[in-house]
Amino acid sequence: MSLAFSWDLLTGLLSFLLTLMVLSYLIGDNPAFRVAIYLFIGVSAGYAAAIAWNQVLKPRLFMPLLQGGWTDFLLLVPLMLGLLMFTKLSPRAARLGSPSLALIVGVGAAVAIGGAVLGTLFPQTLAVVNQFDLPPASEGWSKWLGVLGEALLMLVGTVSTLVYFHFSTKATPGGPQRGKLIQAIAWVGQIFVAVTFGVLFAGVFTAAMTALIERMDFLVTFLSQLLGFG
Amino acid sequence: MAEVRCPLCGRINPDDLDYCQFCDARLKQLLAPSPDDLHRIQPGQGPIKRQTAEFEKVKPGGNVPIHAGEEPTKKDTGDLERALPSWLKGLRGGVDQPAGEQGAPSTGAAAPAASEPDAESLDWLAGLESVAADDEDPEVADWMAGLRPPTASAPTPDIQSAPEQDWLSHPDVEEPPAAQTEPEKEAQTSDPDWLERLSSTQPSARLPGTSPFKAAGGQLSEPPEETTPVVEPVPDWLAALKPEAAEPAAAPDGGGDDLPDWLSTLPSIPVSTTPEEAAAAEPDWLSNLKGLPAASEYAPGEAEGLGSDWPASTGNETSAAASVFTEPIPAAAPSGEVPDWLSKLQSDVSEASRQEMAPEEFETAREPFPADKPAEVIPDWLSSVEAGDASAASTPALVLPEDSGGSSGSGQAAFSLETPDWLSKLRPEKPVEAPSSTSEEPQEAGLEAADLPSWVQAMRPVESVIVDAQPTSFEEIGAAEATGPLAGMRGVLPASTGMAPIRKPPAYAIKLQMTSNQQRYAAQLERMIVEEGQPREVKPVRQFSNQLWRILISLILIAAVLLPLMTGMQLAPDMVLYPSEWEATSQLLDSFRPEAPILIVFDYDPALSGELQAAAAPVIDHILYRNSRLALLSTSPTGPALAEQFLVSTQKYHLDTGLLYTNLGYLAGGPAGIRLFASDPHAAVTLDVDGSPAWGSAALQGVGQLSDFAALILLTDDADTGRLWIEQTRAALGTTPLLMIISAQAEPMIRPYFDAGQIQGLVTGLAGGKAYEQTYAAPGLARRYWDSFGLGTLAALIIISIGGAMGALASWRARRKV
Repeated sequence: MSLAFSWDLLTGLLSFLLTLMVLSYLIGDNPAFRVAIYLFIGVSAGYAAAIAWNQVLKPRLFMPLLQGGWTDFLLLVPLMLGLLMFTKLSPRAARLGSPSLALIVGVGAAVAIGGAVLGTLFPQTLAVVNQFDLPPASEGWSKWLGVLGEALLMLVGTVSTLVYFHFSTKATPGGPQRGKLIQAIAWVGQIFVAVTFGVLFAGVFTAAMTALIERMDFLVTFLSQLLGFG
Repeated sequence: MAEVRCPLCGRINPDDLDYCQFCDARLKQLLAPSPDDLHRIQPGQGPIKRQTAEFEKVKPGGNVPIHAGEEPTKKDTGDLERALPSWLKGLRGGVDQPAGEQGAPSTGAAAPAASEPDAESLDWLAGLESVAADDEDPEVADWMAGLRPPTASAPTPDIQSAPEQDWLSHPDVEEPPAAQTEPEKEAQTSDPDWLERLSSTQPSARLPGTSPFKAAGGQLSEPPEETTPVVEPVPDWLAALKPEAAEPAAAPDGGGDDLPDWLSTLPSIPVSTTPEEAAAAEPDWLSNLKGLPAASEYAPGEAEGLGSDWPASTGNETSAAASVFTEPIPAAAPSGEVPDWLSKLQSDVSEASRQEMAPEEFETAREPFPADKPAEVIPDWLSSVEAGDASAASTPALVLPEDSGGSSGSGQAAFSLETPDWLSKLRPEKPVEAPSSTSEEPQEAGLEAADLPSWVQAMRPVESVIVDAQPTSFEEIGAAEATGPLAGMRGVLPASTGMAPIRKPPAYAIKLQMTSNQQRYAAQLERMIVEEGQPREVKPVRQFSNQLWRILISLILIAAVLLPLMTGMQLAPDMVLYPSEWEATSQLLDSFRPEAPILIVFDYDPALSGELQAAAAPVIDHILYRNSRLALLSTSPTGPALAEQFLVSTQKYHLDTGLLYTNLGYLAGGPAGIRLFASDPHAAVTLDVDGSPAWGSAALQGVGQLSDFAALILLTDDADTGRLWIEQTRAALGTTPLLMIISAQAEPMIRPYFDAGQIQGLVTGLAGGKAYEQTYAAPGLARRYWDSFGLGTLAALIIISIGGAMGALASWRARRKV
């Protein structure tokens, strides 16, 4: 399929150039890379502002105020709070925006902490305990041992990792040192932490590799279509 | 005629005078008072700001104040002499003029002191006489006025009629109690041992023929008319205070007016008639003091002024005690029965008297005083002052230890250390007839010791103060200075030339002596220094820069990725080992009922859209084959566009076949927005991305809350975003399954939630998409990317391995080199 002069060709060509400009970072920082970055940031910000106006402010605030009933006048409160946020631009009037910021931070923190406690802390703790809910032996010793080993591994990993971040020491003639038992457990935890970092790096590398493949595939496809090889 | 009081001397002058006729001070102001001066600040008024510039102008001479460290400039103050007040002139006149010319009352005691031309002692008190003589001086303080001698017209208080003036004479004058009997006398004699011993030593110091008791008692009890005036040197100021004693017989009873209130309130004590009765009535310690030898030495007329002049009586007792203490006090004296201060006084006075009050010395000290002097009983310390005055002209500049009581022990030295200068000045000094050791000191010409100011003499080093510091031999300390300011100091100046042995200075070798090791170290150091200065050839080392390494690795990876894409080769086989979550997720996808509403959240960045599209495409395709209705939502502003782009690029087939979906657009508020959407979706989102009512669309029919959706599928590349959805929607979802399609980079953080059962399905990255694509869908993006992914991962693995090996080798070489 060859690309005719169309909107797709234009957007494809623009995407091709921007991709090459970003890849030019291989030879170091250069104006082409900077232009691509600045353009990406600007377009993203503009697009986000357009989305906020079209999908939030206009349909959720101004339209109800202009066309809504008496009950919608309560929206003046968020409107005022929103306007007070602009006072943060001026150092002299920045205090006027503090209530709005306090409301945002306070509500956000309350929601996040409540969700973290009830949605992460308790369930994850319970999950570690439930790992020792071993299957009956009738299902086979291998499964039973496998579940038990997995539960022990998880328990050791959890405890040793937590101990690794336990930095309390006691005074000794040679300086502050952790206890030998704590040191041994922390050494095990250090291994788990290292493995975790390795896994994170592998995940990041995999994601980056996939992104590179997608871009290379785009370039190959665009060129092949542009040149008529596709 | 108006009178003007002199502002300086306070005397009255006629109004027409400009200058005081007494002190020549200006009586009238040169400048008229300013209006500001007329405005005094009244109580309750605030201060008035005044211009002080004029005061700065009239500052005399523009004198600059002397600052610290500056030498004072000598000024001619002759003009200021006239401005001195009379009492200050009197003070100066007391130094310059004889006492007799100052108008002081001419007493018998003051006459000899005034007649002496060199009255250096107590010259600062000489002004008191002039002050006392000037009755009209209003500026004299009251306390100084109290020191004035009574004028001739003033009645002299009668000592005998005013017994309260002399509290020490009470035992003598009071009536002996009638009940006093022999036992009381025995009790009187039961004195402490040391006092008894003191009494026993009296014969050695008293005049022959006088018993101690009689002498003391007679002196204290006999009428003053019978006492012979004792010729004692009295200072001028004290002489000015003694007119009261000059006329004891004419002293009226009203003389008690001069007494302090507390003393005047004391009741009168009857006068004793006989010495025995008086002795019986007096306390024990005083009766022993009466037997002091000095008292015995006084003639009967010496006690004439005893009853009237308390200082004289006190001095009498002190003198007597000093005479008593001429005998050494036994060291085993019962100190427990004697107060500390008294025992100390005993020891001090004893040591001083032992050296000074030898019989011959005592007589010698009394000789300068004429016998016709008025009767004065002065304390011993005052007599010592007079003795010192009498011998001031010949006060030796050097006092050897043996002369200054060096043998008397440290008691006197301690006394000298603890007393102030002026008191040490008053300490009894050696009379003129000092022992031969002192007189043998050469009185060379030059600065005479007597010419030294009194305060300098008081500061001079006296070797008796520091007894322990005495050298052992004269050769060790050198010669003692006899005259000048260094008098009394030894070894201050070097010995005379030629006294010290002269010898040839030792010869030191110039050649440096070094050990072999030191020579070796020095040679090595020299060699190192020379090598540092020489240029060194540096071998060129070819090193790859980091940028070159980066380009090389990038080219390798790009080549590995492009090769399958450009050639279309299938280098990586299909997946054989499926992910562990695949089974549970596939079962979940199969459990969806047809045409069920499914909420899909697109919360990932455009940069990772390729990965997530590859991972989510087979899953969404699998769902859409069941004619599921889709609701698209995003908490990222770019999410709605990405959702549209995902459907267009991956689900074109379903779009063409009538896919029912509603793009709810952007959900603002972050965690709070998610919370609101979970609790009330209609309140959180009202319009879709096109502005149409969202919940009225065909895709969302029958959906009133979050749990009405058949499943919630979250596409995200951020672990935190996935965690927020899990935490905020877990309670609202109920039994609605939560499925996550995530990027590979978020898997380590999201998988625990899948293992804990908080999410029911999980598809991770390209591998997860490839697994579902391989199972449920036609080959798509996952398969297209899979070969490049495999080859690129292999290339990266090789590069990482080579890099790790090179790093280990470099580290090993570095350690080996070290």
